[in-house]
Amino acid sequence: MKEMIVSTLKPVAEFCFELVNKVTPDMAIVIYVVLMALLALWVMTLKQEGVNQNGGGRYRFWQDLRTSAVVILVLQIIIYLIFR
Amino acid sequence: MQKLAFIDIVIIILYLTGTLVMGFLLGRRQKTSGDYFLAGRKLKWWMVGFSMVATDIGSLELVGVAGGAYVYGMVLANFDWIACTVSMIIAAFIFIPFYWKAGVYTIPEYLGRRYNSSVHVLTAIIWGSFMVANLGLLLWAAAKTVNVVIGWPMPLTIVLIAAVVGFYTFSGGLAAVVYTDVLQCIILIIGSVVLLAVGLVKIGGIDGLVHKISLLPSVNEFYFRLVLPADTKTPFSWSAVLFGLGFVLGPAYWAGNQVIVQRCLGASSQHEVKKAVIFGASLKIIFPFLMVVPGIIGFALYPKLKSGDDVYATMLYNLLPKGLFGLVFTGFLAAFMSTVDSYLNSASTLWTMDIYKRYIKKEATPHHLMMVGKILTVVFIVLAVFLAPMTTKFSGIFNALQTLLSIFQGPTLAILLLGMVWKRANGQGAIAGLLIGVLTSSTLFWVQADIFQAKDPYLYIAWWSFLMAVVVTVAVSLCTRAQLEEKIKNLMFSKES
Repeated sequence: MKEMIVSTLKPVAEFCFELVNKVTPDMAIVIYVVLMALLALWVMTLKQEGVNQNGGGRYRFWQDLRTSAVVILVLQIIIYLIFR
Repeated sequence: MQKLAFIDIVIIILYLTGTLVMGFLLGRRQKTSGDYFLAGRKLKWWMVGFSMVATDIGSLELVGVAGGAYVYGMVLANFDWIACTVSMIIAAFIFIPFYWKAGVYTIPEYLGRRYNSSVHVLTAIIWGSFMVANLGLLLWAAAKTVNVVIGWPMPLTIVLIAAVVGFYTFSGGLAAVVYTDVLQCIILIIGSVVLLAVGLVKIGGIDGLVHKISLLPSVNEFYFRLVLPADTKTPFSWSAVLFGLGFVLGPAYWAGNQVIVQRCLGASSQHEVKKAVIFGASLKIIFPFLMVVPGIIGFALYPKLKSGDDVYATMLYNLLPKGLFGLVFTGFLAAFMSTVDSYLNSASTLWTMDIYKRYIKKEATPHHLMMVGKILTVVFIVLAVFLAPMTTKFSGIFNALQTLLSIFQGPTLAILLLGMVWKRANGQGAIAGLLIGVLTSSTLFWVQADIFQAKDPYLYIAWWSFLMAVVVTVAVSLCTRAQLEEKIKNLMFSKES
């Protein structure tokens, strides 16, 4: 049973490993940073009603949770670039 | 081993007494299941934020992350950064506010409403059993470190801590857990900052640390990097971290783990929930400096330890003077207790609200349910004391926990995510996805040595089980009847709310 599973999955595992092994750590950093930047952009597209204290009413930018979330993501991007 | 000085003993006794008194005082306010399991939905954002972080960072993390950093280096910081801060932002906007809005007590209850009762009971049993077993693991791991650091016998530590945590969790429920978590998180941060500062002074600052590490023959070229190549012999290649940790285990933990989500459900409004999770994410940014860097300092100072898991204890008793030792050791106890109390409270909530109320006594009053929750709290902490020695079968503390998590978390995230964002997902699809996902991860754990190039490939296994669960849930949902839109529209993500 185990041999059958291994012989079926091994070629798939080797193919996937070859694929990810082509990506260097520098390219991987770019992937990480792009994904975090995309998340920050998505956060900015959320509607005001859902993210600030007063629903759709008047608010200051620091009460908008989108701002906090984007600041955190930018900090993360900087950290990943420092320790790349 | 270090002998406790008088001042150290005073600090530890003050802390333990403080938590007991807090639990006793809060316990007097509990009248119903809503008070006991959700703190009457009166929690503020900063309490929930501190509590989430304190719950996440237990003694396993302090010992395990420092130990992992000792062996593998900076890459361990991914567990706090890509797996936490990024995942928490996703959880803050997509998942958690919608659980709060649904007014549920548990994640299985949410899944039951979104899909059907089979999904409800299956996930409740899986998570309820995992949490009780995990309590034993947590007790054993902490007792082991306490034994190494101050020489207390392991059975004594297990019983003593179980009694203190059991008392305040029994008395005050979620409110006591969250209030003590706030105190514990602050003590944990202070203790960790002290250990980091003393370690850095001893090694000669950041420059001294980098210089000393570079002189060690056993260090690898990626020791200070967050991103490692795919062919690394560690479990933390860039692909494993991104797919397994960033895409699956991180979001699954922050958006799908009852222990984490329960304190959010006790928040006073939907906005407070989002604010709490974002606050928690901002706290998590600093933790790699407090947990990973000490492990690296430990490697520079004591490069010949038998196991990375020994580095935290070694630093504690070699670097800290009297008084500071008591403070940092109390931080360790705080980390440990804040995690155990949360698991205990969540296990009791799951078994009371998802099993007892649903299948044993449907007409139970809120007061009756609270009493059942209290009884189960006692039963589970006693059970955990007896389960603790079982964990010696696992070789590495941190990997043992992650292995248990990776079997269930991937498939659970798959059905939660599809349930939240895809209205066509239905109960039959979710059951099939969950079962095939768990089967996939179990099979991959069985054949891992013959399939994967990496050592301990639990991150890859989490990814594949998640992917398989998604594919199966989608396929089966499309082949079966859709759910009524009316029934599920308030249970799904929308950009407006």
